[in-house]
Amino acid sequence: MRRPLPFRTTLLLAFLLAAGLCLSCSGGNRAGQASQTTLRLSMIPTTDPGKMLRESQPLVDYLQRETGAKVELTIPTNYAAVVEAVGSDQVDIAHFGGFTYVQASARYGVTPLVQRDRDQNFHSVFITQPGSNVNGLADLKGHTFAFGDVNSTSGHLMPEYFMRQSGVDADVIAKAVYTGGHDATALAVSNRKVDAGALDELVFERMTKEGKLAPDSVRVFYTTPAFFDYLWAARKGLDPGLAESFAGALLKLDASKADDKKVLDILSATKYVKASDPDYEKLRQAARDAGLLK
Amino acid sequence: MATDSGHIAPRSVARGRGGDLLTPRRVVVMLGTVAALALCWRAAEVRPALLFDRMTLAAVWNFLRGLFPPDLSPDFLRVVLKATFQTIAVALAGTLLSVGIGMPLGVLATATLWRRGPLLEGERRGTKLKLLAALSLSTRALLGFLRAVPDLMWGLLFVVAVGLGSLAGTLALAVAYGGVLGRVYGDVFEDVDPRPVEALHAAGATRAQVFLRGVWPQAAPAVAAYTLYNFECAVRAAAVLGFVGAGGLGYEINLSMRLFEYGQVLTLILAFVALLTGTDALSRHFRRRLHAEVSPASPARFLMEETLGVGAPPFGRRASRVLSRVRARAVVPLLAFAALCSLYAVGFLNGALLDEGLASRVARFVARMFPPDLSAEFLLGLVRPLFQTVGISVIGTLLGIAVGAGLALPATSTLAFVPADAAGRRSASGLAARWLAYRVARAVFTLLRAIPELVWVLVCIIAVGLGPFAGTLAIGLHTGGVLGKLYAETLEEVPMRPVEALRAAGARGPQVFLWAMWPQARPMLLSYTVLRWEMNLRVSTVLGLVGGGGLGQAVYNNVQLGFYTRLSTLIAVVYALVVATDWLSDRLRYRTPDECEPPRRT
Repeated sequence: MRRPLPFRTTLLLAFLLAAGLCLSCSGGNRAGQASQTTLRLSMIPTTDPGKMLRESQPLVDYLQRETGAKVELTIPTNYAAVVEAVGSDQVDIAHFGGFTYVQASARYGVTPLVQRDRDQNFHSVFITQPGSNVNGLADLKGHTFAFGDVNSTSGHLMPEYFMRQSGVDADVIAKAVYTGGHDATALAVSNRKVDAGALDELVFERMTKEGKLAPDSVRVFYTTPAFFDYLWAARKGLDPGLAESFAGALLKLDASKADDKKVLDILSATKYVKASDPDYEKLRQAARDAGLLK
Repeated sequence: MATDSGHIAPRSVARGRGGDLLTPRRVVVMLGTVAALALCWRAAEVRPALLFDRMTLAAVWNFLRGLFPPDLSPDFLRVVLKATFQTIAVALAGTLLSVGIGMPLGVLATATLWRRGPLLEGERRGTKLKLLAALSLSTRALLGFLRAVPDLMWGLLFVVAVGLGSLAGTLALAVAYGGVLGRVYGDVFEDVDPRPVEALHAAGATRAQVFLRGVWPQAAPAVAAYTLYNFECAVRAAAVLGFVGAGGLGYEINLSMRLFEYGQVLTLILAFVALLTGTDALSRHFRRRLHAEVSPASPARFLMEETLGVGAPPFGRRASRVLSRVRARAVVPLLAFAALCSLYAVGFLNGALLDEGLASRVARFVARMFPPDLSAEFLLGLVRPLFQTVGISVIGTLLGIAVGAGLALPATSTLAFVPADAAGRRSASGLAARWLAYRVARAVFTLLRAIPELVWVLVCIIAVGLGPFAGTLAIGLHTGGVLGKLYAETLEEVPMRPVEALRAAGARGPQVFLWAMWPQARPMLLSYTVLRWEMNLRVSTVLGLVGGGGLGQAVYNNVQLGFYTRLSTLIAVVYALVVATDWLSDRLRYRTPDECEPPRRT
């Protein structure tokens, strides 16, 4: 037998050493924790995740000042992960879409806090190509259709609800594609990959304004009646004082003050109001009817 | 096509006469293949006309134009740097954990230790032994399961179970690659020279002593080399895992893509390619040295050459030994430091995280997946995505074969560059054209290969819209790069005697290829292609996570809606599909089931 080789042994040693240190450190860190209260926020991007992620510092600073807690903000791109994180106490306060809020409240009993005034009066727009013969929901029969993410309120749940209400051919809904996002829906329609699609009115406005969507490439043929959408909600068991001070901080933001305006802009908001659960009853029913909520 | 050639491969020598080409059996196989291909074509929703549609071309042009100039602003470079480090951290920590998972499972799965062979001869077959054998067998099954479920699907599960970010990515890598490593370790342990093992056993050594003194010393270099190779794969996987929300470069690519910031996409992709190239070079260097340390007679050496494609070391053995000893001193602390940093970076050293019951959260999530949803309505709804998945993988692979084979010929140096004295009919301009074609083909392979399938999916969605066709194109492009390179390398490596003989007799390029290279290379080419299809099937189950059609879409939607009981059914379906493909691929390649898994070349 040849004698043991240095390199092989050292490689093994390195792994063992790392593993050992890892264990000992995880023990050591535990003691140093839990000095200051931490408020863990999670915010599903409403308009521009990249901008939010990379420019959210003024919001974090403002909230730290107002609540006195250390604020950690995460910008996830996956709704389901946020629902689970709130359920397992990984996130204290989360920004939900209307539909994800209903899911989270059914599964984990979250408490509604505040929302933007426009969230109480939200719409989805249905778009198609300028030259198409679709001029109303009834004309959708026989056309391909795109929703956004399956979990989106304004990109899927409510458009589907209003489509069912007005008796759109069930085949259109059954064969619809899910683009995964509002912007992707807009692009799919403007590039003629689908005949029509539904998306968040805010995203549509922004994309048109910023030139991401050529104005003559799509045309709105239907706007839904108003529904309730996004809101901030706290996990079950969060210190009510902390939740209160968070809600209070957002409620008192005033768009006429320059500093406040900066924070409001990050949130694409002009004013915050209180949110309440009964407002979401209709949405809840819509989700049940569509078989999207158990 | 694959089915057909699989049947004739072993009899190729006898096949000289054209008369037995049309046996009834072969006709049936051919018809069946054609029908299956037609079905796949339909399921993958292939619409070639769409490729040349004005809107498609405009969208692709817009995208390409958007790529330039790449975003090199300091702010964004900071984001890129952070994402790159995160990806490295996830890959390192994930590899470390996967070794921790794979090693014990691999030992347990080793048949020669627990189930058969000289160690068990003469021992009383008591209950304890039977239990151990059963445990070993079920470990092997578990490893198969961990391996079969694609890493991206693990990623999505962990993202939901433990939250977004690099920890989810790390755990996904740990589990998926734990399965891969466990299987490979087990195979390596089984393939060692049995004589030392028998000698130790005869001298009365315990199982642990036999392993430590008889098996491990022989297997260690191969184990280390494969682990390094695995790290390479893990870097690629770590970047891609970001697409489902697990942080790193993939997350940023997805984000920038969504924001139409194509300049940022280009920067990120460049960073990704640089990272891959760097890891590749580093790992190759270490593997060479490990290879140099294995005795030429050892089966481990053969295994390494077989699985890793490592050639001879650059230096003489003695010189490289001395070098390695010097560097090994630096490697230990460096490696330990890097491992520590990465574990810290992905949140594994955060005590709070372990305290708050990572395990219990995962357990709760798993518990909510049972009992699996087996309602007829749901199962019927899966038929279409299932066909789509198979269709995407088959048509995508065919597309890849077409791209790869078409470009492989100019990329084969032994075909492109013929010694000047061959026949004296080489013109300088012809040579320049060949040289150019060779370079271009090689560059295209590198480009196609370097960009992961999931990024290709996003690009193809821009071109042809959401759905299986985008997924098919994405697989075709990536596979074209991978297969093209393998094809060219295989053709270059065939024994040169017949080639030279034909050349001397005055044969031209096509003749040399047809009569000297093709017959020699065919079994290898076939084997690589079938293996690639097997991998593509795995990939096509996850394409739907980003909009590329197939089962992935169903997985994504049901995760998003919190219908976890359906998720377990879907995982079972994917597992069954992958196992079935493995079996079929084994048959096509006439591979014995116990042979070591060839490398996952990507």
